[in-house]
Amino acid sequence: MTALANYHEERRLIAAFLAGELAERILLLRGESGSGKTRLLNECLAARSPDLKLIPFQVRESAVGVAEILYRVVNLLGDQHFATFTAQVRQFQATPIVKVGRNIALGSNEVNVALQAENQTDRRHLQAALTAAWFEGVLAWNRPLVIVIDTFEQATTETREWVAGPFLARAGQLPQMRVLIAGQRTPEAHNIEWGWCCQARELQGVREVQAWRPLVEELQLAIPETQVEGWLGALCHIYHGLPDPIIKALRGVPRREARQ
Amino acid sequence: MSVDRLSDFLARLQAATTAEEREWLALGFNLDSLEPALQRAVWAAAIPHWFDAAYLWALLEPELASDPVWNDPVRIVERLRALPYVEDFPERGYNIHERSRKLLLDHLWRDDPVRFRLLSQRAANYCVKHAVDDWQWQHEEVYHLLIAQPAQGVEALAATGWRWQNPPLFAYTRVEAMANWAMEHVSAGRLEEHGVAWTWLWQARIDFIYARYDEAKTKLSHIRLDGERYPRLTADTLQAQGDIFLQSEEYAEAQIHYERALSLYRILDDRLREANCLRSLGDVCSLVDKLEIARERYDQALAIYRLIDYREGVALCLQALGDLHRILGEHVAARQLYQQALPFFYKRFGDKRTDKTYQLEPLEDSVINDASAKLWSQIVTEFQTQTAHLDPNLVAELMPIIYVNYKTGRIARRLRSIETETLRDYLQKVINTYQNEHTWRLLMIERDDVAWNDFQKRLQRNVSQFLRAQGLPGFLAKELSPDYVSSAISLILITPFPFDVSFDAWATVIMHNLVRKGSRRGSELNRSRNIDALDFYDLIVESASDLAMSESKYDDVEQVQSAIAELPPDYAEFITLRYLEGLSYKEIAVRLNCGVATLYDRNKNAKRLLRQILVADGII
Repeated sequence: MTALANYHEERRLIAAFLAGELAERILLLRGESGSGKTRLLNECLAARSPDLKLIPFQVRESAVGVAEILYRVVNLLGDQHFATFTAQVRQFQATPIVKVGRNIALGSNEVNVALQAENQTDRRHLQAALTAAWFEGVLAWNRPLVIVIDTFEQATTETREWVAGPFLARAGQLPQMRVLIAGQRTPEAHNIEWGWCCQARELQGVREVQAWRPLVEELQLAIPETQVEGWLGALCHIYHGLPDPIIKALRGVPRREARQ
Repeated sequence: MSVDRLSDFLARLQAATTAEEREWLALGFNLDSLEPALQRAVWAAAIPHWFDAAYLWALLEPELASDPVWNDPVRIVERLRALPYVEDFPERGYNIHERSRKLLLDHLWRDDPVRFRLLSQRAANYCVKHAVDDWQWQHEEVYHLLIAQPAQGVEALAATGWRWQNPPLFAYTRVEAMANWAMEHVSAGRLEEHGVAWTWLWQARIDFIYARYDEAKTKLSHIRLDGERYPRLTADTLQAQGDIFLQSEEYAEAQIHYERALSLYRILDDRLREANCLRSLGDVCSLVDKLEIARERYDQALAIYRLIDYREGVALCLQALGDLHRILGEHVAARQLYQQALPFFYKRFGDKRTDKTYQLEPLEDSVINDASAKLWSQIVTEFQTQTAHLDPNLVAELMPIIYVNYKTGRIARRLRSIETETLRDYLQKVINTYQNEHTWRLLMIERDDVAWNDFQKRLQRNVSQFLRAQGLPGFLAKELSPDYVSSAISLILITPFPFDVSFDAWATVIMHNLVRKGSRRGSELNRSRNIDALDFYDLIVESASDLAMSESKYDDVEQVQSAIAELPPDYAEFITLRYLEGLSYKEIAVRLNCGVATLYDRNKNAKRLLRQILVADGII
């Protein structure tokens, strides 16, 4: 993967966050599509201390929802810490909440989805109970843990509401836990429950021409030296410093060797 | 690549007038640098939401299988991975970055829709093989079918959505994800009217589920209602609009929409949805006090539900009819209907389940907090342990009792106020009482006339004594007591008996509370409390009715409990058994191995001592 130009300040911020050197335990990284969030995150996560327990999630659509986040953490930290949670899940699987409401078409009567309930009240109850039990387990883990949630804007309503609500409210209370959320949209930082331990950062793109020079060198692009500044300046201006189209354009330029 | 071409690119870039045009120039510039086979692969890779070598090859094989250089899908994927707009898709493989993907799809649809459909058809064919057990592949299949075979795709969009939304799945996140993917096509103008309308309908239903009623209303307004051409879509849309109007308390509008949906469902001969519509109309009518029409609608719905053997619908109608009777003050009829409905709610799911476990009722918003959720989960765990050996039908009858006790806060208060009682003790008490409470059974289940007469007489005697103990002359007590008894019986009929005390004790509390309430209102009774007339139930056990104890009463409970603890052990034991656990004198006599006469003395002496303690402590 091509190194991402600049974002030095953000890089330092994320490194300090991962190392537990920031006072805030929640970091929100916002930026429009193509601003390089995922690339920046991947670089920073790859450079982290190997001792740090870090669990990343891409919450695209419903592929990774509340249940997946809960389960994956349990699996990675070890279910011995999550006895209450496990019991709770088994209980809900055995006795799902089902209330038949208005205007529904006929469906099977096999109830096989433990966390599904017809109305939001039931769902919130299930989530509240499971989340409380889950955090008991996280507390029992008793070592630094970083949860990274990327592509937050693509999460389903349920996941977005859970993350911005019960999850972050409790995460903010746990000294050993840090949460980094990235996306085109992130939860509102001025949240009364967890906003006090949160820092938000917006990726604005990389407009400085000099920041892109190392990439041109690295790729050995066949741009005449006298035209590099002009090229980069034009690209940065036209694309407002957005890394995605700039890199696409640069990667479309042949390399010097190929020109020979 | 010449410097001229670079300059040309820059010149075109500067001449571009829109952001999209500029973005496309960058992507096109990059694509131009690739070999034609790889360019073809990039276009194909944009069709699915993710790809791996097998998926991509399913799209490209007919074209590249004979290519001596690019007939290896693994090699193609390796090359694609190196492109700046290809990223990892966890657990699936890779995907084209959303921004580039959108550009590619927009251009492909505009320039070569036939190829777009062809690639979509190949993608749909590939998805079918994986879609059996994997709902994400089902999403993907619907998404491609919408383009490849629009009519079939729309049918799949509607059917899949209903399947996921309906019981037992209630998989709203899947419906939401599917609707969002379909919306990609809608936003890009790739769907025809029918597909667009179904997409809006699902989006609106999701908004409705998450209580975003205004958004739902707006989305539904995009749907052109054409009952002749699209009767199913029109009916479902009208019903969804009716639901929103109902929630918004716009009852007249709701009724109009339900009526229109109803006529379409009748044409479609969709009995289930016809019944659902009738039930919704019943709801509307009951909310605007057209109770007789509401009853007719519920009856009609009930008949259809019974005809098609949709038992949940039957139960909901019985419940609704019970509500109507309750509104009219016909408590006995209401209770009968509720009791008819209960087995459906509490047995149906249990009977269908192999492990014979039973449903837990949903909770109200007000009780959703950590402590409450924790208690509920403890209750459920303990309840399941204690009832594991019991007849499932009995368990199904007990569950709603436990739930109501929990929901009214009774269990939490009881555990808080009686430190020596564990949750296990409490549940066991309920189970035992339920199994052994003959009075309640005779009155409520068997509706035994003799038992009713006895019970009324007992209540009358009790209330009369109570009134006299409060200082009322005998003749006045006698005159007032029938009214109180009558009110008490109504209350007893509609108030869930908690089964954590004896039925007599509970009924006495209800009656005494009623009398006290009357005394507060009419001041016909002396409000000063007298220990001889003091009924311990009144202090220890709260009514489950709307006459529930105020918080201050619990302070009394704690004080009385601490006073009981100061009594000699024999007296404390008697008071606990008699007034906290609700045992009869006979039962206590058996347990303590003594005569009933002894217990009467013990009762008198214990009360006297207790009075002294309470007076000394300044409680009375």
